[in-house]
Amino acid sequence: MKKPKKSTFPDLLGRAKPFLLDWLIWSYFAYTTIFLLNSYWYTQYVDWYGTLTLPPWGWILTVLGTFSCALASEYFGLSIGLKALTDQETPPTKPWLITNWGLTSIFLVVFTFWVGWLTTDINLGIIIRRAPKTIGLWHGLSHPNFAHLIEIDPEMEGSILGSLVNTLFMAYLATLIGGVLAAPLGFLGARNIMGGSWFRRVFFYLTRAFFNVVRSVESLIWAIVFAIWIGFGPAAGAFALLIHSMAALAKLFSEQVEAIDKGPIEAVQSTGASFWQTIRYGAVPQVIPQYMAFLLYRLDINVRMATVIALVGGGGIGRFFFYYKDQLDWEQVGAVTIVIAIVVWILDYISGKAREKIV
Amino acid sequence: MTDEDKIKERSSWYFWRNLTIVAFFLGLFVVALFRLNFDPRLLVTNFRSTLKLWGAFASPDWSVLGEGAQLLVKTLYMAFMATALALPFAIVLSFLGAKNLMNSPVAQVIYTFVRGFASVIRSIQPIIWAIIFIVWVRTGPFPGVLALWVHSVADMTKLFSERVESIDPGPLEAIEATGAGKLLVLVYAVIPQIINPYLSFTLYRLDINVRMATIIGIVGGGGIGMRLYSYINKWNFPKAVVMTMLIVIMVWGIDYLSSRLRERIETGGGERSEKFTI
Repeated sequence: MKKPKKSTFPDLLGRAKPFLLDWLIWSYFAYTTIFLLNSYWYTQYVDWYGTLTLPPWGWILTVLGTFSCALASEYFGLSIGLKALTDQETPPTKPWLITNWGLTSIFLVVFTFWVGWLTTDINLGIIIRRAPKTIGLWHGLSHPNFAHLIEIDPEMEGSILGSLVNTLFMAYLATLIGGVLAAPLGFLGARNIMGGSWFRRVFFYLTRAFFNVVRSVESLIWAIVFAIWIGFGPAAGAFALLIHSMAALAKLFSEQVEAIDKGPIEAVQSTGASFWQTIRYGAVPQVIPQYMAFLLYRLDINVRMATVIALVGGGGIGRFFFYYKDQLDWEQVGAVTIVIAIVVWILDYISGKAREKIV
Repeated sequence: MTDEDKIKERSSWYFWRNLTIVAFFLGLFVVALFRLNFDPRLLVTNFRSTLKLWGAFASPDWSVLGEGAQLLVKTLYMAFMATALALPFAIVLSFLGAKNLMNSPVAQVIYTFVRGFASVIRSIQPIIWAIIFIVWVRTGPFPGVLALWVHSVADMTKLFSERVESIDPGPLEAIEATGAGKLLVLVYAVIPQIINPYLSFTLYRLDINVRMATIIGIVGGGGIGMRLYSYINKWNFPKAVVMTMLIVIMVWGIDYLSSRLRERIETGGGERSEKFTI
């Protein structure tokens, strides 16, 4: 194979990535330092406890300072970016922890933990101080009231078990339809199938971007969208779970398609098969068991999600949970929670056993 | 009976069995469709009701970008704190919840207890835990962290102890044969085998926690989800769209980083499998 001609441009690009990572790390150090300074010492530039504020010239100084720190660390061979992103083999001369790499990682974790502790308002005292307030809650949860388990609650126009069936059906519909839609998407999003020509590659990138974006938005947020779209109820919840499952399954599935074995593909191709025949007889049989396992795994996740999707108008058993919770009727909340825990547990167990058997 | 008859009989049995299974799932599908009034036609006929929402994508209100970025960082910290605080608890509990390490009768009781508790706790969604912790410590990021922490401890305990159960018994027996105590066996036979899977599971859990942290705000658990939900409730879609974009960027980024790092850990930083195109 001919070696590609070396030009300065890719080399520059190769240097840019480690440099950007270095700069990011230095900027993060600056961020955490400023945050900690602001939260412990009140200066004239701090207008609120613990927020990140700087004088106007401070921003320029921070940007330039971190930039030169990153430059300097590359110059003196202390760069983390080069170590992380380039494959230079250096024999270990000293213990991992006292290398540049180890020390920086420790510093990063400690600083992140420190800032995280402050920024998320962690306060262990309040747990103890307010513990008596939760006595009613624990009492209710441990004395569940199963009055509306089968009997219809007139205010909710349904019973707990009835809405449980809705919850399971929501997850079932979402998994089945999502799975069916994800199968072609998974092939469209697999590099080895779609990397052949320029035209197919466009399709590949479009599909990848589509399901990465859809997947990044949680199904609870999709449920809000569908509640606006088709109205409150279990159907909106099912649509929300469906679209999220479709994207998540397509991603898992495309990774599986990318990992298929070359042998069968070549064997089918050698018979003179077309592109479609290659996929049908070379690729599909290799991914079917994994695909079934993913469906079961997804069903499990969907049942979990379906129990809370009522929070934003998605219907299902969560409707009872949030209604009773708003009335502070902890005994009924306890009953609903127990039903949820049992059902999720059983499905988790079945799904796990079935997946073990398939894979 | 000849072999051919046997094969025929068997294949006909498989045919009827598969037909019954498919018919059962299809029947369930139809029942579910009717019970939930699941009607895709509604998406077309009701499309007008979402016009305002899609319109907001064309004109996002960038004035909330700074505020959104700060909340985003806070959300990330929530996920990080929940994972970091859950890790030590999960590590200790995972040894107590591993069947192959807990042999004596007393240990069996502890094993059952730990695994049972972990299963019950992880069956309940973090959002529900958040509601309990909001009653306890009031709204803000702290109950969100606690909710994610409880769920992470249970989930990681389960994943970790399953991993411990599947370790190679060879080194275990070798170290035991030298007359080493329980602790030495743990340090020299168990921990070297599990350190990489633990790291990988922790990264995986961090990824899940980031996703969960974006929605735990809906019930008042802090983070970017709280603001997003309030903008949606006020029907202020141009601002909600900016928040959603920020969430997508963060979740995508963390997902990418986490899966890259996990790949590196699992393959030991070695070569990836050969890629080919059809």
